[in-house]
Amino acid sequence: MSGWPRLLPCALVLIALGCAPADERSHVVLLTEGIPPTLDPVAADNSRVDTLAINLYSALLQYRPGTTDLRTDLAASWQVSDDARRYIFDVREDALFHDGTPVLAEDVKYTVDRMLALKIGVWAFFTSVSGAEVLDERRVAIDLFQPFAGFLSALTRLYIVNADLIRPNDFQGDFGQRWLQNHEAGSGPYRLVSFQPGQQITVERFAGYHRGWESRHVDRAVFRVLREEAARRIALVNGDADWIFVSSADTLAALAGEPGIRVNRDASLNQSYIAFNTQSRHLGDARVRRALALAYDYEGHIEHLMHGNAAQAHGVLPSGAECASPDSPRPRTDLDEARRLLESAGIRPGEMELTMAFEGTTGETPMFEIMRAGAARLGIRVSAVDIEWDAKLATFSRLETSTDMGTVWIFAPGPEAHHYLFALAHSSQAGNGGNNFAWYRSAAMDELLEAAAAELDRPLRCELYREIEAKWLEEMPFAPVVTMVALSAQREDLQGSAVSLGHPLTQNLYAMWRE
Amino acid sequence: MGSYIARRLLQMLPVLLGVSMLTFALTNLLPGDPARAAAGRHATPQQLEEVRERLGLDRPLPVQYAMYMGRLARGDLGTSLTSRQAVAGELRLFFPATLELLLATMVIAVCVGIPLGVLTATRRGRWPDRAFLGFSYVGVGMPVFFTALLLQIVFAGWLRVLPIAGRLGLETVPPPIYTGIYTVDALLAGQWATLLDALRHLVLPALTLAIAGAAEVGRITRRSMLQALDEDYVRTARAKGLPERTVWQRHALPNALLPTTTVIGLQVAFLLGGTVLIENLFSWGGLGTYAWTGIFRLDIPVIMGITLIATTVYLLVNLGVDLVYARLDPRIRYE
Amino acid sequence: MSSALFRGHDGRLVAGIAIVGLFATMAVAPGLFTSLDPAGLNLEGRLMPPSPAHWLGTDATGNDVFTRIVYGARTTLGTVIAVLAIASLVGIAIGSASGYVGGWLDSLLMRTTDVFLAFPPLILALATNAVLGRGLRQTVIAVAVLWWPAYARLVRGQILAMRRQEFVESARVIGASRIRIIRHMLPNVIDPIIVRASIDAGFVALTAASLSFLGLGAQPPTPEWGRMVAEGQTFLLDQWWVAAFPGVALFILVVGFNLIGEALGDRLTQPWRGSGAAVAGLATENT
Repeated sequence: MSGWPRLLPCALVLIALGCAPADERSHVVLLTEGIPPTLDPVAADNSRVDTLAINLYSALLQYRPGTTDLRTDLAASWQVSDDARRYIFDVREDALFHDGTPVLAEDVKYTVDRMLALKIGVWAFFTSVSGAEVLDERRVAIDLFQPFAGFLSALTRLYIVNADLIRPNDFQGDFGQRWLQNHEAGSGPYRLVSFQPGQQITVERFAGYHRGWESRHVDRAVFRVLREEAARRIALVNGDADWIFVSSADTLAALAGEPGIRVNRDASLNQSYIAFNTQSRHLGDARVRRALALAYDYEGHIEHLMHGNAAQAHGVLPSGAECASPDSPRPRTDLDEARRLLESAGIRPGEMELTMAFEGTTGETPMFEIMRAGAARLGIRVSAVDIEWDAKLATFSRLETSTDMGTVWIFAPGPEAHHYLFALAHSSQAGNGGNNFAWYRSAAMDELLEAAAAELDRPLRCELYREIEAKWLEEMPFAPVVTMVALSAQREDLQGSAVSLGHPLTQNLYAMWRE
Repeated sequence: MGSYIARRLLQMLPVLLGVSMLTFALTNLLPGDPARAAAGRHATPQQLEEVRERLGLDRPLPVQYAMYMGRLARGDLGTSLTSRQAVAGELRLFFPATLELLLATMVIAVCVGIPLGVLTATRRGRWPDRAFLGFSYVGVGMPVFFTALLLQIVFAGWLRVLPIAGRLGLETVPPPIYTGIYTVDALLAGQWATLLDALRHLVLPALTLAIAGAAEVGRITRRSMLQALDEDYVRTARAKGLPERTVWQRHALPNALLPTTTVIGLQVAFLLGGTVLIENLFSWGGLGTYAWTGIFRLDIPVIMGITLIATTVYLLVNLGVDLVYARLDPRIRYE
Repeated sequence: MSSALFRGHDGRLVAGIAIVGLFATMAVAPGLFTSLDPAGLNLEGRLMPPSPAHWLGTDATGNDVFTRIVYGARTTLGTVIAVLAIASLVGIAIGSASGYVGGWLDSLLMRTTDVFLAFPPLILALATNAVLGRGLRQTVIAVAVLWWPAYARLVRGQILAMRRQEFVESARVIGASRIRIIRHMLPNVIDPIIVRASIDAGFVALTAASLSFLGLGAQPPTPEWGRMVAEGQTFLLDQWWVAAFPGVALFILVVGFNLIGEALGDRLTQPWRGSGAAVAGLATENT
């Protein structure tokens, strides 16, 4: 008899152990719509690459999840020189790469050199960087050609790579691009477990991560590609997945009613534009471009197509961008004014036929349909050129192959207006893989954009952007369409905020956990 | 027999050469610039030139083709322009996935199609025959992408009994690679849970493809069975008083299977390049997906590699069909 | 021409012609079936379920699904006719040249058809379509590229068989020119080509729809059934009508074609035996 009370706690513990899942660690399955072309973090201007890079790698600075507030990450601290052309960073002493070696100044320099040599991917955010210098083991300086207001926010996409790991894997001077295709060399919270191209990527937490594992986080995650939205939805409802990417507001509305499912509508800094090819035969006249911008049904897009899951642009910027003003004119539909503009440009209904490039596979067909229907009411015929992103870039790389119109999204690394407007409207970005699909070349605009980028005083900078905005709306090389609201859905037991404004469409596993 | 096979293998060479030339010509007509695809979107004109030079893309086309064939002769299929991995290695990764799907499809199509064909031929005009004819119209007429969506909705969406996509469950660790075919590898390694999981994932995509296959195989079997039952030697066998079953099995069926063999061979060959839709819909990382992305990323070595392997298999299957003929039909002799 | 082919009663033929005839009427006179615009935009009326106003509901752009199916018949039938016309014309030209002239030309042309027949069909179509760009015309060419070799071989076979026949021999004896002799022989090739085309029509429709489903082929707003199914995929679970009805329409048309093809095929029974390549055109059946 006396033995029972003593055995009871043991029995309870045994029962508890038996009931608990064999492995209490938090495993998560995420379903995405596309395959990252590479794991190389230099390509993190692509959201599919960024979503992995943010988990596998660390940058010098990073945003607090869900905000655009910068905090230190691999850097313990930083200083700026008086002329704002040299930034000095001290690397954290406890920062380790996944092979256990410390993160050193030399790795930062290698990362900067690599980006400058390759001139691909995130390099587009760092055109003002001239080089880096190792000051001592953990102290590194990055130098700029001229002051650059968006520099610190751009650093959140400069993922530091392990130089000692990449150098032996260099192939014909490719800076390890071939090797990094399916390997990682990072110091992020998660390390790569397996990579099955075109299918799935498994990551697991890295015990030596410098920010530690005290609070609750995801332990292991599988990113799997499932292109069809209905299939992703079924997998989530069936419990085969914990988080899914959602592209259609209709799917989100349907999922909102499912028990055990939470839907997410995260504000983003992703802005969509329609480029009007200023060098094309028909669109050379700014009045025609403005007329087309006035023909687009912005309200129908936001209210009926997206069920309110999209936001109006403020002027030419998303509302969350720096210098975006609530007083700026919103995109509006006005067919009468559009007709007047066309008339003054000497265009009669029925005599204009335009082509428009868009990516049907990523859900841009409705944008084309709305533009086409609007233009049709002005007597302008618009025909479709439905192409993939790579092909679209190739199309707009040369003037001869460019279409009259084209969709373009800006996935900016930070909230500064520069990241949107320079990438679109500066003449250096026209052709050759740049985003200036409008082939807009204006010396006055270039000057304004350069001056604004180098202006470190925020009020003065915003004043310059007001000027740019006014000129932009007058010349209308790109019509701002809508600001994306990032849609996703997850099972209710998955907690935490995963989306960061500065990392559109990415999933930050470190900020998530399972109840 | 041996010399016959050798001669046939030799005859394949010009066809393969022709296919490689056609592919090479086609891929070089693709809009866009493979150097840009390889160098990345922000590459400077100078970098583009360097890449062009390194890859030999600045040489005249015939020279590029000769260079490619030279490497091919050494067993080197080249390097993918976008993934920077060896094409041969990637093919080894993707080909088994498609092969697995294809074998499963053919097993279902043959095991269902031939018995159905025989059954209905021997009950001509009665209800099983009519029912099968109805099914065969449905099977052949259904667009596969439509069948796939229907099966996904019913079995994964409503009944929730089968996984909607993928080759393995997310918690399942892939079996050790012997062949790359998950079911076979799991079987060899004795991992029964993995085997079961792989089979569950195989059901829907294989069934989608097999419905059309079974309908076609069944139709041809039925038709040739009926023809065979009409032939003199069958009448003779019947006249000799042999039981009806024996007549069918010994005399009619072997002859009826000749056209069926042709159709099976054609199906295999066709499926090899034609699984693009199904692989897309079921996230099946195989040759079809690889071809699709290769074509849209302007990845010339990838497209070349896929067409060469698919064509080779097609020709081998054709040879196999002819050899099976020789075994089934004593009147055919190859020297 | 070949009225003998269509003589006599056959239930399959009647049913097939009725089905294809219905879709052909839609293609020629869509106004008889619907008065709505197949390519408008009505965002307020998106994704409405079937109702008296919209028999088969509305799609993601608010267009009437039934109206789009009616106009889609034109796209699909037009594609099928164009593909078969191109394939058979090219086939006749190459097959008759090959069969009549013979010698090195025959070897060259037949080795060329070997190459095309050995090519994985869908990959050839995808690559051709990628080269030419997206669009209906491009898809027609891409699909025709798959089919012409089968017709070339068919015509060549017929010509070879006829060369040994008396009327050709006597024409040659009296010194008729080659062109005249070929012109004389061609009518005899027409029947097998019609049968072959009727067998192929359904497969052609499926192949073209598959390319459109993948995003090649007809571009929006042109109604095309394969593309309509693809665009309806997202809504499959709730607004099933967007994808389901175009799929059903395609299915019915293909069955109609197959009924005709089978009925005609039985009338002109072709031997199934022979090298695989001889019937390889059939391999493109279930893209």
